[in-house]
Amino acid sequence: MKRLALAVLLPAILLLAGFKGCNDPYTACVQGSSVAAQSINQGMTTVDTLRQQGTLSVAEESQALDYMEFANKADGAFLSCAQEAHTNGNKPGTYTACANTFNTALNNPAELALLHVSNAQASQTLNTIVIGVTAGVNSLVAALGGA
Amino acid sequence: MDTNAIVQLILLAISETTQMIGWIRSQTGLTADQQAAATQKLIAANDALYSALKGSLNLPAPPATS
Repeated sequence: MKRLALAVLLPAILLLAGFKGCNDPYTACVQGSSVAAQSINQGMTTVDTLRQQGTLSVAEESQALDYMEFANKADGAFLSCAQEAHTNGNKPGTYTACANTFNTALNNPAELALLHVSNAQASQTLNTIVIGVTAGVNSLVAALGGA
Repeated sequence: MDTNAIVQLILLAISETTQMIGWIRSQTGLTADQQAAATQKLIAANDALYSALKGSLNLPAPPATS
């Protein structure tokens, strides 16, 4: 279980490290989107593994997958937003607005409710997945510095 | 769709996304636009993985709306 959580958290740690010294907001956003997509991918396979191990029920896996897919769609919208900001000449504040919208989506209480599961360890693992991604996006917002 | 076909679909989806992630991580010299294009493909692959995994759960179909 801990190995699974670390596998999911690792991309976020790499993301946090990768933003240091990155002065190009477009590249930072693209890297953030890429790492989020990798984390979401690992999150999907992780919840399927947990269900196969009997830690999650079928219904719980289904709901957790729904959250992952919601986050994946939000990531796609974030990437499109950043690409549009780049095409439109890197206007001040546009990248930060994209990242803030992504962050707000990830923290949507109705969507986060999909991650409530009965098994305490599984719940912790799911929280680790979400915290890994949201910590990475928070770090991105900070690194953008309002760009 | 029978169980074997669903399992094959999931394995294919996982294999594709795993390969894509490995490729993205190995490409250190990509431009931001090239990274963006690769990430778009990964996001689309995640969509496919989601569909495959959900399909494997054999959940009852939602009630039809008219």
